[in-house]
Amino acid sequence: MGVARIFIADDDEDYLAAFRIGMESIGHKVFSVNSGAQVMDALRDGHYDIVFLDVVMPGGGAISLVHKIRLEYPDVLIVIMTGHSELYNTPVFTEGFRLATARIKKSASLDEIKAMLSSLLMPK
Amino acid sequence: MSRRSEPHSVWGATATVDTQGITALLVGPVIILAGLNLVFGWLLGSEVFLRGLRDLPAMVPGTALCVAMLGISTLLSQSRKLSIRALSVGLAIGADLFAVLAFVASTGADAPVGGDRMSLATLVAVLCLSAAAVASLVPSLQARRVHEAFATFVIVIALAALIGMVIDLDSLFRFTLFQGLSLPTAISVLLLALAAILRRAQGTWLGVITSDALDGRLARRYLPWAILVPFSLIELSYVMTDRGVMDGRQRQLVFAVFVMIGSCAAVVRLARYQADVARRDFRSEANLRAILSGLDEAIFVLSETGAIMGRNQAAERLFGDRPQEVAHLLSIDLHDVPRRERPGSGRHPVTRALAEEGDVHCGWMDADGHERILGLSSFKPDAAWKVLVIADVTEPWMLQQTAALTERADALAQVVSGVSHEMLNVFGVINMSAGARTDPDDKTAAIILKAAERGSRLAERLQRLTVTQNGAVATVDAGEAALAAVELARRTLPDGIVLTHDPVLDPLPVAASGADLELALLNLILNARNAIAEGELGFGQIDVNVDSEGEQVRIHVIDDGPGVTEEVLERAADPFFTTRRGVGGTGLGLAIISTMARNAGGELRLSSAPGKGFQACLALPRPQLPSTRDQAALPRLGTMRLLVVDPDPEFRAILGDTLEMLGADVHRAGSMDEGCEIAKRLPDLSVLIVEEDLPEAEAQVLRRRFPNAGVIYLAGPAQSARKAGWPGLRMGKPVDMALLCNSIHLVAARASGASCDEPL
Repeated sequence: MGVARIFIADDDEDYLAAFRIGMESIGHKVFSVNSGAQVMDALRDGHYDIVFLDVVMPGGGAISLVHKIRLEYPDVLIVIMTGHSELYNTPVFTEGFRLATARIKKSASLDEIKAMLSSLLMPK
Repeated sequence: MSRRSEPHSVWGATATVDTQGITALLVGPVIILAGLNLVFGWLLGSEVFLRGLRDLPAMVPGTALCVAMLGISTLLSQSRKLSIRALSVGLAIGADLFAVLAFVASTGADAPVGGDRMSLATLVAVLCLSAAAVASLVPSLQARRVHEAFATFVIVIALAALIGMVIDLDSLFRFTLFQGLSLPTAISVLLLALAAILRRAQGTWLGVITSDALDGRLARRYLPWAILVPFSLIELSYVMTDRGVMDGRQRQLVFAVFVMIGSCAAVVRLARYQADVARRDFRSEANLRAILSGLDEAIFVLSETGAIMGRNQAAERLFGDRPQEVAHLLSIDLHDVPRRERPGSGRHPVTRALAEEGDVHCGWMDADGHERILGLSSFKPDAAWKVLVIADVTEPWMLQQTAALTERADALAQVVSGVSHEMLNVFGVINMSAGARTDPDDKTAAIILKAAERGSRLAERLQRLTVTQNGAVATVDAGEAALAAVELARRTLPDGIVLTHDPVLDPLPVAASGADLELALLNLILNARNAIAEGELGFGQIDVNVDSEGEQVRIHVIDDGPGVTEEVLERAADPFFTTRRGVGGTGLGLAIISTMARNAGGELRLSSAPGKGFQACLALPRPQLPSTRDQAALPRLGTMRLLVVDPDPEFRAILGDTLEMLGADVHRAGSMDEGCEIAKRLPDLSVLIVEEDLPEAEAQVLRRRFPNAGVIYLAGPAQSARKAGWPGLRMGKPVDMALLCNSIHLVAARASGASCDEPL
């Protein structure tokens, strides 16, 4: 696994900072925005290997973004980060999550994310 | 009169006629007659006003003045003012004295022989009438109907005189009593006597005749015959004797036979009539009894003196047939709810209910030792009696209490859920930061990571417990759930109670939510703990085992506690049945577990016997293969314009995103003001989804601002039940999307229908 270009959208600045430190510590490059409204523009400006989306953000969360992203970038890897997964355990979300490549908990440890990235980014 | 004590008013001899008007009608002519007699008769010499008919005696001025005074006295006695009533008594007594003087003057030695004079009958009548006037003003005499006796005597004299005048004047005047009695006088005293009775007619014979009730109708129907038949018989026999058809003895015989036949016929007729009435009464009473016996409320009919005159079957079921009067009801131990205090003196719930203080609620321990909640009220259908209604409101009361508890628990769950979500985010930051250590042997980072990991697990468990999984087909491993419940329960067990559990190694998935199953098992274990701890020994063992049988997975919770009787076992899973009401049991635990099991397609089996412990077996089906039916069932919301008003930004965002996914045009607002600003630009808003605890989220306000939009209220944390009566649909959080979509379609259809057509 080489250096991956990781895009993350999350309105929690603390988590963004921690995520950046964590990802950079294992050698990846992180680009971030803190609202759903900025996501589509930011994605057009650069190429990314994997996109992390928070479920709830001002300007649209993962549920609506995942559909828009899939339309424009059918092949990009999308990971949805959930804090409240059970609370919104409805068929709509299941459907929404199905378009995403993977789903992790907000509380996941760096090792868990590392393991997930390794399996997702493994050259086919 | 025995009739008066009968509770049924059809028999009551109540004069319902306007006695004041009739008194005036009776007394008015008397005063006018006296005036005409004095002015036109004595002053101007008109014979008609003096004696009525030629050859009859004249009404002397003394008599005219006396009857006028009595007439005025009668009119004045109707006044409410004491002074005027006193004046009326004075006039009546004055008439007495004046009559005595006038009688002496007109009949004494100085009186002209053969001239007009006051008759003895007039004097007696005036004395009796003034006595009647006084008697009718004294309550104790009035109650004994003394006035009726005096006035009736006057009526007898006046009628005898009038009949005598019609039949044979000479014979009449051969009686000393009637010598010199004039026609106007006879008529005047008759009218005055009638007025004297009518003034206080209650219970008198005239009261019966004039009554609107059954007695009056009956009397009026037969009275003419009772007068006419004997009178015509006498006349007929007199004529026949006169013509020589029969002699005196024969006349006596024939008269006796006819009178006997007439009286017997009248008696038989009356008896038949009374039997008809009694039969009708009995039938309506039987109907009433049937209606009352079908009521769940206990009904006591109380007399003025506090005796229990009647009760229905529910009343006998409640308190037996021992209570015979209010004092017995007052000796029943009723306590205040919810504090269970004995009421202070004079504050007994029955006293309060009878004082018509509205609905009074109280608690009562029944014969089996269960606490029942009673609602008492009373009403007064009649002046003579009162009805006490006692309703057993235990179940609604418990439901209300439980609903209040559930609402508080729901509100708490929402707060806990929000907090645990935040905690998960915080642990995510810690995990990530500590995980990014550069030195793999950094012990501090390792400790932080381990603690954060534990924290995340706790927060996740907390979140799972507070979540209701709407719409999702959940599965859980029965073995894991049992292990989790055992671990949680173990911490609550006192010394002396051993909890054993053999963990299962193979996965045993069941179709149930993990949180529900864990809670259910926890509840069963705690029930077993309570049974053992409250038993005679106070120590014992609880076994929790999991096995499978065919398509079912079974979880057994078995204790060696005191067990229960067959009767208790049968009702154990009924809602609100508890043997632990006094120590905090709600009687809902087993009922909820049983419902949960049935909803999941399984069942809760219970078995027990006294001294043989209690065995609970929760049997749940293995999960079916996942189906896509649930996704397909979600209705699309295409072209609908929705406004979501909710102060919680996260909820607002996620609900909005979800609704957009289903095709709706969604607008979001954090407050009603913001919502109104947005709505100004959206004239064709279909549905408003609003958090009901928002200020201004009142039906009338919303209706005015969004007349064409349907409204869905989302229950806020305060869960205010007061708004339950609002027009619009209500639903709780977390939101079940299928339910919300169906609700949106429902209110949108109604709203568009209302804007096109006239409302029904």
